[in-house]
Amino acid sequence: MDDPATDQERPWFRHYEQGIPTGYPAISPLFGDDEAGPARSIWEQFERTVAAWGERTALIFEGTTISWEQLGRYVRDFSTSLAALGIGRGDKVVLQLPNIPQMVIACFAVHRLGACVVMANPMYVAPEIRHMLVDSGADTMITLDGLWMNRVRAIRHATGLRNIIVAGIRDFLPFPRRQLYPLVGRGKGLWARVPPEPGVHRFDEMLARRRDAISPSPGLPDDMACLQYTGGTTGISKGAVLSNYNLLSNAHQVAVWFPGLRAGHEIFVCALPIFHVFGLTCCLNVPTAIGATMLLVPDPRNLKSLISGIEKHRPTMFPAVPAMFEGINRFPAIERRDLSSIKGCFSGSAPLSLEVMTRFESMTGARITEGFGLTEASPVTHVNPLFGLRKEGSIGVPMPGTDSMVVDLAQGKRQMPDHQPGELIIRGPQVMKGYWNHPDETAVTLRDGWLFTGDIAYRDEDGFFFIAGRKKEMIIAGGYNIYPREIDEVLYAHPDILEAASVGIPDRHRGETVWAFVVPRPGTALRGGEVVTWCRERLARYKVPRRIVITDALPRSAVGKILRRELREKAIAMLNSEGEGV
Amino acid sequence: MNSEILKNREGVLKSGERLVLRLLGPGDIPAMQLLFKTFSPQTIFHRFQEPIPVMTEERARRCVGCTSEGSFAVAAAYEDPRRGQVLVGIARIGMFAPGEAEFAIVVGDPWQRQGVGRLLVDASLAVAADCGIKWLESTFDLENRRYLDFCKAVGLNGTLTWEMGQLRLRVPVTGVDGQADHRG
Repeated sequence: MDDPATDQERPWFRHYEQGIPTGYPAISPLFGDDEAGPARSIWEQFERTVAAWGERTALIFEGTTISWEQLGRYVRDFSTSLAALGIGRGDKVVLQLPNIPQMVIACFAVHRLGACVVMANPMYVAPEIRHMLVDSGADTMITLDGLWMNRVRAIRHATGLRNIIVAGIRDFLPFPRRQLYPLVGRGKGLWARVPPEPGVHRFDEMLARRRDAISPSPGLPDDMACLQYTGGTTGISKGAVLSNYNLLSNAHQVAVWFPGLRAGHEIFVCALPIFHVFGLTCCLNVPTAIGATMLLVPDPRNLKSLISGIEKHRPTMFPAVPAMFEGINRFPAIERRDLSSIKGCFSGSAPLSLEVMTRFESMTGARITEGFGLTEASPVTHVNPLFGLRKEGSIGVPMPGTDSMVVDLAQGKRQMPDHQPGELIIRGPQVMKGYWNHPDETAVTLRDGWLFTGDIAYRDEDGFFFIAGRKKEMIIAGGYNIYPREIDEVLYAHPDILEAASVGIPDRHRGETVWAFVVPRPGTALRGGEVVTWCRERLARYKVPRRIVITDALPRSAVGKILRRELREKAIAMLNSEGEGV
Repeated sequence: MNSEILKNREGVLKSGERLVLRLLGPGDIPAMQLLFKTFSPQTIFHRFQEPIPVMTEERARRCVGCTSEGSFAVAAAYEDPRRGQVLVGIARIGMFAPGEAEFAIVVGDPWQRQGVGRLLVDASLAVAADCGIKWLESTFDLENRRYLDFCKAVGLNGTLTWEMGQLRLRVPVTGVDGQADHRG
């Protein structure tokens, strides 16, 4: 394996802003580091922040504010209740929550016990939740009352679930919204009355229960802190095992990239969902590491509320996905709104167009830096300099303490010359320990200490990296990764579908969107709406095809492989002919 | 096509069954459907790049390679006293331009890592050379590293490129007296 042995072989260091360390760990007063050195676990970092910034606001949620000290008490009390349920070191707890205070409390309470969080998207439907529960082996789940009643309860028998803790969005709402919430939440399936039954506990009651607090028993740096599920082109979703060290180092790496950050003084817009690894790091672990306030946004699609929140609370940092910047840019009369408090933005998950970036920056005065990452790397690995050289289309340079190379596709051992494409590989403290229960896939992905990303990239002479192509057929819609295979499996399971293929089509607002081409079985009268309903029952909403094209046959290669490229071209031609060009 | 080329090409499975190599025909559709039942979901996805739940007759007809001119399939099979000939793997070649063909191979899960793939590759290259095919191409997913390793192991060395989200391996077929030399 070629190896960048010297700093001369890491030309990207030249583009680091002044004050950014090249290596990791970087001991920094920003994280409350002292002579004892940096924190060793997510819990230890949280404890330091509570001690340093107790009086300051930790969370703002729909008009409710919670200080770090209060948050620390909630976490202590909730973890004590969790321990009373038998949860301890090494156990796994599934969190299926939006960005609400209970998500933050639950995360740190689980870490306080040395247990592991398993993140689940609240949009997941029953089959997706079941897979995650069974694969992870988790026997405890914290979810919304509405999700428990509408999606999880029916599959409990098929899982090893022993404890279900139901939280309510309304629990932390101020009067009178707390009282009115059931009217709104019931319609969205996010609120439901929960009848008592064995193993089902209420989050608010567990929080209020007075017990003698148990002592913390946090995990060690190498212990599994998070199981983050990620799809794949060739299989069902797998859990990436992220350790305390992985998560903590990535939070520190991201924080030091913004040299102007002041500990205890920043306010982060937490609109990226914390259940997503990008949100977990940038909207939970980074603000926690520097004692920042988290402005929790439970529904980032509600731009009206998001923009009003920014005007009211004057946040300074805004990590987001391109669809959010695009949405704000297009919001009616946005130029008359005051978003000037935002100093820095971090964009990831999908490429950000220069046009969107420039418009947002000129409107707010903020600076956007675009980064790159993947679940298996906690996730951030590359980022563009905030004020220095910017290269359009580049994912930036490797983060502090991170090595990256482009290697030959055949063997993955030889570093490619500048500008020559190959597979992007990464090595650093943020790289996962492996896939949960998938040793073969781990062996293929982690080799000689490097993470093989499966993305095709090239590097230029300045050490900037560019993605030339992504993993086969992955669709990125609104910041979410969608694997066509998962959709195709649902389509093939339909009794009236003979053949099917889903593809990603460029979309102005979501980046890409999903279309499905479907060949019905002879003699059936399959309709598109029926297919959509079928998918909605089996796939999270963002994965459901936006359009179903019923066709007689799918284009195939000489040996019978579906030619998805032709399907994409056909879809784009259809859009163009309908006057909805992409 | 000279099916004599496949004569005397044989191998032995770990379980002792003797493998023969032959061209597939329309009569092999039921055997193809039985072979499909031995594929794991991963094998199905790597070969077909779609999650096919059932091998329909129509699809089996395509797989045995008798649907169009310039398309053929080579099978490795053994004789079972009860069931007759059992297919353990097939290689399919489909011409897409004069002298150029696409290549795909699949071995049933119970018989993988027993040298069946190598036998099929050798036989397919010999048949391809006999048919005047100069180049073989194979497309696969970057995550399918096992296939890449397999190609290296059996000497399918050629140009590896990446296009439209897939890897494409292009290998020269140089026939010498009906025998393919694919070591270069």
